[in-house]
Amino acid sequence: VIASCPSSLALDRLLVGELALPERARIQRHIASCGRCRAFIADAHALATDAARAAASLRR
Amino acid sequence: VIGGVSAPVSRNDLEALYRRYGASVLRRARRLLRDEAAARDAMHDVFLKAWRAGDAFRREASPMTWLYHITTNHCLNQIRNQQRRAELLRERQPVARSVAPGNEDRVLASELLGALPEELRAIAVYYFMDQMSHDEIAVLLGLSRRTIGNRLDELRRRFA
Repeated sequence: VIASCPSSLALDRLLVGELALPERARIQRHIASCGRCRAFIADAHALATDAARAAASLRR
Repeated sequence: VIGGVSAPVSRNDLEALYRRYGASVLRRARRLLRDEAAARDAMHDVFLKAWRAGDAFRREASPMTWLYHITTNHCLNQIRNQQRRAELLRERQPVARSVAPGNEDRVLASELLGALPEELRAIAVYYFMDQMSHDEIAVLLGLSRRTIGNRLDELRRRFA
């Protein structure tokens, strides 16, 4: 069901809480049944760690 | 206002931008630039722009959408500048170009993108790389859905 995957922008907006209800629920239902989108979310958590490290390095 | 939290103005607020949006901006910069150091530099530049934009950034209906757009343009400009430097070098030293195996696609893609006007470049990336819908691209660029359709037709004509 790759064709019906939300765009990365939609997934990113979901992650920061920018999506309102009908759309949010629709995308969450999709994620529950899509390994590709779940991998995207898992990857986003790993990336957040990298970005936080890069931000911390600015202080040095 | 980002997620109901008030105005980031200090250095801590700059770090808050990294925590909240860092994953998205870094992923995008890595994907477009395909170079880790360049992607990190791009991320720092993008957050500095957001931080300097201050209120204007916080008033965005979707700060994430704004950051996507800024990151895309920033990275595409980096690619174009890099290309211009490479062209200058080639003019000075007209030797046969060698492209490392596996990099042909990347070189071809960056040359194609470099040949396009700014708005078309961004549309090409959103449509072909991000597989965004016409509606999403229209919102991102503040253009009508119809205009996006026309621009995509123009792109297809250019590369047909």
